[in-house]
Amino acid sequence: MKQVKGRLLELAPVLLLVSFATFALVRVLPGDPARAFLGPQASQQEVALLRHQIGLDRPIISAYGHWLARAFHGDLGQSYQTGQSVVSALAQRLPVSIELMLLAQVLGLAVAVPVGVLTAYRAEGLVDRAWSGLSFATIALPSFVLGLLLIIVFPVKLNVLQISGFTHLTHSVGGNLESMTLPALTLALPQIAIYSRVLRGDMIATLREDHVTMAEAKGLPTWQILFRYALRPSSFSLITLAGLNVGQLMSGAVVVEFLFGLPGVGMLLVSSIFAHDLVMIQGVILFTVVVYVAINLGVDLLYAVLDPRTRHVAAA
Amino acid sequence: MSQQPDPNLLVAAEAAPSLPSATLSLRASARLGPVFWLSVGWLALVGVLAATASLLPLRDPNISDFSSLAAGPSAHHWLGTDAVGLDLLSRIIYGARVSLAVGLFSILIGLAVGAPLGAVAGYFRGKVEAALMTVADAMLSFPALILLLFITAFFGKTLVNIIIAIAVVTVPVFLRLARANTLVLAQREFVLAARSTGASSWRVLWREVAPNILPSLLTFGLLAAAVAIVAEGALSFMGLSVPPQTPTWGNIIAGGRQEIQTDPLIVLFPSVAMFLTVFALNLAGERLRSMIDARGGRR
Repeated sequence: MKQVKGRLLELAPVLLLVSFATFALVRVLPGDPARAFLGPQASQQEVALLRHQIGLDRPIISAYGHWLARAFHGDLGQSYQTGQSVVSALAQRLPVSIELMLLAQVLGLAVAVPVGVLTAYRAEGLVDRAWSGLSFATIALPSFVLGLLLIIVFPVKLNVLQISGFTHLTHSVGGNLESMTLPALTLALPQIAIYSRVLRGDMIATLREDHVTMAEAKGLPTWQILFRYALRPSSFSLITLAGLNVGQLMSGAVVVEFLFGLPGVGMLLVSSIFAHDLVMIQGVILFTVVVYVAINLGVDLLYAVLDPRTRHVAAA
Repeated sequence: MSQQPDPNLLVAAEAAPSLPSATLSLRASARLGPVFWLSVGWLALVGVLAATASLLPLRDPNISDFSSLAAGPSAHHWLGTDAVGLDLLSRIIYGARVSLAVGLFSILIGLAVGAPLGAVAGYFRGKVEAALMTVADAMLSFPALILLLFITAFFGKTLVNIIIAIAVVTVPVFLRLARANTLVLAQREFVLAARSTGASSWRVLWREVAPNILPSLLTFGLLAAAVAIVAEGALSFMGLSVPPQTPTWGNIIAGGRQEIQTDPLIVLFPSVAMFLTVFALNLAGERLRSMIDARGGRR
């Protein structure tokens, strides 16, 4: 508990700085953002009204305080493009991003864990070397290139998984999964590459430890040694990485959502940036950052549960 | 990967507090291996082509050949043409200019700002360090791609803006890396010796610390340049980088997307150029890093 409090205290200044930066971004824009949004035809009154709504007519600190106080009450303002509240727009888009994140993570871990264990067990073997090369190449593929390559392979050449826009989960489960498969795969492939290499590295170290030798001496079957004795103590870096990725993907995989036309949080942000919808941009960025920081905190705390040793380190 | 403060980049930065005991010598270069030299060769080729593009006998990247629209490779157009008849080879070579400029300059600026701050934080510790690290952490928790989108959308899609935006994002990464290396280095004998002979702190930082943290920072810079090139590519792909009359790998790929059903080659060629460049930077960077790791050793 003491640890939680300590970490929260560390995070407070970071969150304050980031939220202020998010808010201040609007202020450093060249020209009048209200005029930029409304266009040259808008009347002086309309511009003045909008300036008032975004708090541009007040000193920055007071406007920021006002914005932050309302944010604490769950009110991030309203889009001045659509009139929709930022919170309801987020609530609408979040399920898509979360589903994409979950699919990518499940797919990523389901492949990476067995492969990582196997390549560690047979380190420097043929499979390990081939996998190492393949992983390294995968990491060098930008996500939009990888996504397009998958489109060339599946819908274009093999004529499966057509790209026909997004189907909502409540509309058709099968159609939804079909529209999510390629985006999830695009995110999962590089994760598989990274996760499996990271797990392999930690696992090789664990397999040299005494308790593994002990288990071998007792004559336990290999799979049991690998998955029951060696996997857990080897999974810390993997969990950190997966956690960071969860934090990032919650806020939307911007490029992948853009490429496949998925209406997630990333797409919401891109479209509000295109539309110069400042209130929406501020709200979405604030949400994104808070989620990212909170999930990182969660990952840190998870260590204490997984590895009792870190509790002592933190207390010291 | 792709998006935001690339976690993999961060992990690499955190995992790299390795210190070379000496800079790479000529003898070491012989042991870098063929993969390293192939990577350097590719990068050199792309660099020379990009730098001399206007002197080469290339077609104008912005003049359409209406007699061949979306045509495959031929004697006239070695890599074929896109949907409006623009020569792909020419556009890809001109596109390399943008990618390489972004990779090189954004990283050099990020390094030039981040490294001194990190060294100061790691050497003086105390309040300076606490303040710098808080700012760095705040910057790192800000999604990088979002910042890039924001800057280009509102401040104009110019090459200079993109370079500066990417440089801003890399500053905290270099800061953390330089600090981590300096922390270890500050305990080493030769630094303590310099201090005890009465050298000023700034002199120690400049003469003892800087030359010893630079190799690992530059090595990391290769990996960071790859990430920067990918980031610019993503912006270009979404139409948020330099205007389309300047060819970039990202906007050639975006343009080829409509023809992906009938002409996947338009997407494939610039993708291959981009992939090989990023791959070469990664391979060269990793190779140098593992050499530096092996020499510095862990203590």
